[in-house]
Amino acid sequence: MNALTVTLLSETDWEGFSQAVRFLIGQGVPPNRVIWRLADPREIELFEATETAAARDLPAKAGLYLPASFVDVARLAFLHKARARFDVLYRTVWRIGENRQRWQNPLDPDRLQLEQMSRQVRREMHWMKAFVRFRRRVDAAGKQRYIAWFEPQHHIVEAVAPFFIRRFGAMRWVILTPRVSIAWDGGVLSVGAGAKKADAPPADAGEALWLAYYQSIFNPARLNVRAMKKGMPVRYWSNLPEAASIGLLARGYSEKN
Amino acid sequence: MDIQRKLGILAGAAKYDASCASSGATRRGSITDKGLGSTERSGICHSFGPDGRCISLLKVLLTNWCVYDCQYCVNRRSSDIPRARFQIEEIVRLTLDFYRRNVIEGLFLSSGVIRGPDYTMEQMIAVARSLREQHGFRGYIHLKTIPNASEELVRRAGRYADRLSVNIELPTAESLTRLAPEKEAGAIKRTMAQIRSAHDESGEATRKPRSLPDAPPKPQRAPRFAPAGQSTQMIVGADGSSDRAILDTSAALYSAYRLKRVYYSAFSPIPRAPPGLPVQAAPLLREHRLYQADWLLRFYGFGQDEIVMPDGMLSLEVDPKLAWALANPSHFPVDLNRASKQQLLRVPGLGIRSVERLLAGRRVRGIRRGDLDRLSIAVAKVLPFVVLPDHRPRDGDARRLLAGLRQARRATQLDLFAES
Repeated sequence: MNALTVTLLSETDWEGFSQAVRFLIGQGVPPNRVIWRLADPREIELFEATETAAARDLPAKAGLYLPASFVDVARLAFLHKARARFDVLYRTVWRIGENRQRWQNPLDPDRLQLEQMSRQVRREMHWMKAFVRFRRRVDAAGKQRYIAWFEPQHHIVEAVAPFFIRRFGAMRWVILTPRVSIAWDGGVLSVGAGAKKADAPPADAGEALWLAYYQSIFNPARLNVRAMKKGMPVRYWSNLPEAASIGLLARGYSEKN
Repeated sequence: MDIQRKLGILAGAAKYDASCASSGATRRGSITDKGLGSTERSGICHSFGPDGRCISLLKVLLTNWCVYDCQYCVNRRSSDIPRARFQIEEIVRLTLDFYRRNVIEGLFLSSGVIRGPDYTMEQMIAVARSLREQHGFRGYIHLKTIPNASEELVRRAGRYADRLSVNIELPTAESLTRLAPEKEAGAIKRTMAQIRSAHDESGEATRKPRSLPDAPPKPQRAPRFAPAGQSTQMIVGADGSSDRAILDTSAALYSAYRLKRVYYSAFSPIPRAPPGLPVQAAPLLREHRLYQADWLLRFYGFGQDEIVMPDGMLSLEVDPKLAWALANPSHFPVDLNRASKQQLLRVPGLGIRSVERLLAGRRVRGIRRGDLDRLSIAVAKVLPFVVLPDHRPRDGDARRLLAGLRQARRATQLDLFAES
């Protein structure tokens, strides 16, 4: 049997992926015969030699039942940045099909890998909820919009959107990221193209109060830079306005002592 | 005085309160009613200060004027510090503005006592009520309750707040009499008891979280009351109390008032401190060990008397579970494939999650040495205390572990002040 290349619409095309998985399992195509790729024109040449199909065009067979605990983990792991996630996920489905007990074994290497991926994704989702920083912009008509720039490590933006809608449902806001942008107008969420940091507004006047608070709530008698970095990893600092004062606060302490 | 200067003074004065937790609230959103904000079951730390502490809430005092003269407190009447007082509207605006920037989960409002407990409490409640009723604010609100405020005010506070707290301040009533002569332990505990009974009556303790976001609220049996419960804070190292005495006090408070948390705050000398207080800061490590011990008492089945050393103190050198294991070699080694859950929880390096994964794993097949790495278990710490089909600790393994930890600690102490 020749290898089959399956094309997904995007990094977050869970629907296409699960449709393809149902088809492949129905046809009995083993994991080592499947190549996953994204509908990205730059990648086509690499795979020309194989037969290609768009995931969403595959006639999926109904009736693929998987343990709910697997699906929960799989949905999160699917958002991981590692391209290998498609292979691991399909291989795991295949192996569960051979023997359902495999997913019950917490020491199974595929399960351990997927669980680790899903943990990393969940943590990144949590950090996005924590570290998105909105800045206010007032347009010519006097309408306020809150705009943020964020750089997540995994493909989580759409998955975190419901959190921001629930929290800021009456506000108009935009979250720009390199891969995708999401915008809420108070009633509808739109998903658009990625953006650049320069597209986000600079600090507005009110931000100074937040910076003043950040500097006053710090207790210099308890300096602990290591714990700070653990809670707020350095890779987020470039988009956190308060991070600019960390060096000053910590140095101020060291000099006094 | 401009708002930024006030914020500097009144946030600066609030930094001695350790708690910034925003957890435990019932899950709620604002999408359906055009309000602002939401809460999840677990809180979110939106930032961390260079002191390594979570910043989850706008933590400020309403005012740092105070009629009391508590020796350990930077805001005491006789202290020569700049004073300020927020207008109710100013705190409301700050909270809403910070919230919309997504830098906080909500407000933690405390205050010096002005005029009297009831007047102060009324002012604090007015802030919470304005947020909830005028602005539809659904974020987190923690109100510090003033001891001796009337029961009616405590009940009103609980209607708007997610969490209430009264600080126990010091581990013993004697220390409180000596260092805070105008406060009395009886009043503090009376207020705690009022919070507990209002909380019990509201049924919050047994109320189930709603399963669907924005589902219509279920008919409620009683008005809501501080769904995230109550907490307290104890200053460590301002008096001579032993760790044993501190943990005894905590255990009594947890059971008498159903506290969600006891926070420990290492005493740090305050500017222009009066005589009668230590000039040395309590080691932050002592505070850390108390938190670890508190955790072992509540979730790991340890008793207070087991984890303190004969002098009534916790070991500063190693965490309390490891200290217990080193002092009780007869309990070890433990067979990871046969031991009960209770025994596993007492093995140094095994947390609740790893114990659960080990139990699930060994139902499928025998656990071996290599599986520990796969389950991301702190192998070096665990191995001296456990037996596996392909591992048995040698004599002196625990001693060597201790020596290694000593060496590592010397290295991190040097590293603690490194900036990068």
